[in-house]
Amino acid sequence: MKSKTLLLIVIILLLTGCYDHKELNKIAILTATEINKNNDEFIINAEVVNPQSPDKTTYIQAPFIIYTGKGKTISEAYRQIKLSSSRYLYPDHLSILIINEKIAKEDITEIFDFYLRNPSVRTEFNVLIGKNEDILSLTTPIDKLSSSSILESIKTNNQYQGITNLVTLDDMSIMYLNPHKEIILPSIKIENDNKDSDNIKNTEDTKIDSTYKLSNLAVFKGNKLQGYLTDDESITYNLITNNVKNSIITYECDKNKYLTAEIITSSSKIKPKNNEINIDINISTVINESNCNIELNNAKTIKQLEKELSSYLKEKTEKNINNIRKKYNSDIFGFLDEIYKHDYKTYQKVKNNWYNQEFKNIKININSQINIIGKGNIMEGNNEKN
Amino acid sequence: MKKISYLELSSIFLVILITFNSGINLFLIKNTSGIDSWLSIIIGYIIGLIFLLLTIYISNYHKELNLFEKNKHLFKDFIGTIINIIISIIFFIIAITLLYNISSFINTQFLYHTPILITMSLLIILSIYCATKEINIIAHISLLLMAINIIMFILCNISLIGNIKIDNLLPFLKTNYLNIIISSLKIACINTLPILIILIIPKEKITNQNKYQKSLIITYIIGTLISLIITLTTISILGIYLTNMYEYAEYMVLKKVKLFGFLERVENIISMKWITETYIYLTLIIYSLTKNIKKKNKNTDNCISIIIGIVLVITTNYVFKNITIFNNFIKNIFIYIIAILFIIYILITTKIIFTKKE
Repeated sequence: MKSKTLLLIVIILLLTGCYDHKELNKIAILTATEINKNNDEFIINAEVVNPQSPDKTTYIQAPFIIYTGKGKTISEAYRQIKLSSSRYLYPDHLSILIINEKIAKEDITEIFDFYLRNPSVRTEFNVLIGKNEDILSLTTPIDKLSSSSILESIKTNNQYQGITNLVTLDDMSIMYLNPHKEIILPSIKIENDNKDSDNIKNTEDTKIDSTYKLSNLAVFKGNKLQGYLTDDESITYNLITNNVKNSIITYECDKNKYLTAEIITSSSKIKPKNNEINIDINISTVINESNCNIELNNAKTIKQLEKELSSYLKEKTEKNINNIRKKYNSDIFGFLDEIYKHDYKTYQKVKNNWYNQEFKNIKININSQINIIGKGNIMEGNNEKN
Repeated sequence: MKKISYLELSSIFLVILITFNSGINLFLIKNTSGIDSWLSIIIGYIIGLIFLLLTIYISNYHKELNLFEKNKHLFKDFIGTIINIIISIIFFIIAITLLYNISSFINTQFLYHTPILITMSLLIILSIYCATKEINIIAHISLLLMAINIIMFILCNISLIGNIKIDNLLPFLKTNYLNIIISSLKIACINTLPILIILIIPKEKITNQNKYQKSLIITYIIGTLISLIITLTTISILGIYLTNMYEYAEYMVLKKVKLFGFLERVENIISMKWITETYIYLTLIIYSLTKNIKKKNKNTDNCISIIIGIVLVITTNYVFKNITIFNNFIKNIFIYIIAILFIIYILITTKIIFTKKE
């Protein structure tokens, strides 16, 4: 009995986890990081949550603090932050990583190692390309933390517009490690950057001077940033890669008159066959707005409209894919990956000459099918007065 | 002495079959068989069926004796002792491998600043304490922990279904056949050869001996399915490139688990499964080694278990100075050491056949 008691006491003493324990009041919660580079040195801006007093009568504090650190490696830069921060930077809640386009143009590889190697960092945070510097310093209304504001904006944009895209570090690593695919990342920039942008004053007016704007998708080839897609090209990319949750198609149904169809569901499939790429796009839409004189309660008209919309989407998709191929010569759609997975024989033939010859010239057949499943509250189209 | 039920026996058997899924199985085969690693798992366990049948055959010889006693009975004292020593050394090596594997996992993922010696000591204290009890108590603990583990395994795999991308398993069967066979042999070696340890429980100690064979076969099928599911989910969720890159790919997948659609960040709780499996396996090995150095005095037996535990920790610390040494050991030496058990199987089976003929 004595030995058991002794054993229990020893175990209790050992089970305190004293080597790794971190008290809540000794940690600073890191929510976002922005990485830049200057003269071979990484410059890191780390957004840390500033705990607010529950007493509203006390003076207003900034909801977050930006710490800056420099170092030859990312790890060293983070460590340098600890010189100015009273608390240990706790990275488990990191939700945003902004990589400055300067690094992206040079070599994005250097970013991966630290975040993938470090077990205390979760790899489900979102990665973006920053077109300006000090994006995280911008104060924003509604969402107090710039990181959560950016994250929610990306989610909303992806859900309702389909221009941008959510890319986690895991997704980015898969795109990077996969030899048959190229990296594509969302981007962000600050508009009207002024001296008050990092001040709480920026959120005091009804018309905000400085604000960030989600920009178009950034295209990579290998480990280098090549450029940015246009809005249309971004939607095409997201449509083909099944990343569109909800978007709109605006179609010129008459001279200078437009019709908008809202995408409710969309699915696409890339099918490689005999050295050709077939892309099937199936979309269900609802008419959101129609400024043309169309009889929307006529089944024949709806069918005709579906046909027109389908061929419009087909043309647009073809044009955008060809533009991307021509401008960047980067396989962001993962055509080679699809050939590798579904047509191994062709893969063996094309893999060595993919970018030199095959990717530019491979025939792409698009088969788009748009179904109109609703037309809103109005029975007919917009009947103009004669 | 109290007997153990066939369910308890199955739980111990399952532990032996699946514990190496905790960071070793996939690590060993992913570079050789790549996307087709799942096929290596299937073939590996099919090859392993031979050892299962041999185990069942050996268990029927003098049902009242355990493995070490059987050897002494079959080969007489001198050769029997040598064979027992060889088996003990192999079990000891399996134990140090398991101990370092789980300790380094805990240290790299959770307790970065805690010395590995403390992690090892905590695990081994628990195993020693358990190993000083009778086999029926070990079996009770095993059944309880395995029941929890299986529930957790089912729950986490259900929640992972949404993350599975079948495309990540394509193209099918494009890996060199020779590589698949090599990987299968590795799987057969480390997962199925050590099932010899189950013979430490004499068949006579099982309550319902008619179900002995059936329960082992069913457990074997369950073990195969669990290993297959782990491999398939890991590769289909992470993709082969991330799987190849991560040290503990199976654990990285657990980070994506959302229990009941909203409970996130539960990977640490789910990975308790790895710790409990290793703990039962270690307990069983310490118990077996103690049985081999059998003394009739209970207190002496306890002392032997404690000494074995201490030696295990010291040897692990001495042999594996860092994870790279450990990884190289697993890849280049461990398989061959375990493969010696194949010769032991053949020796014992042949001897039993000849003895029966005589």
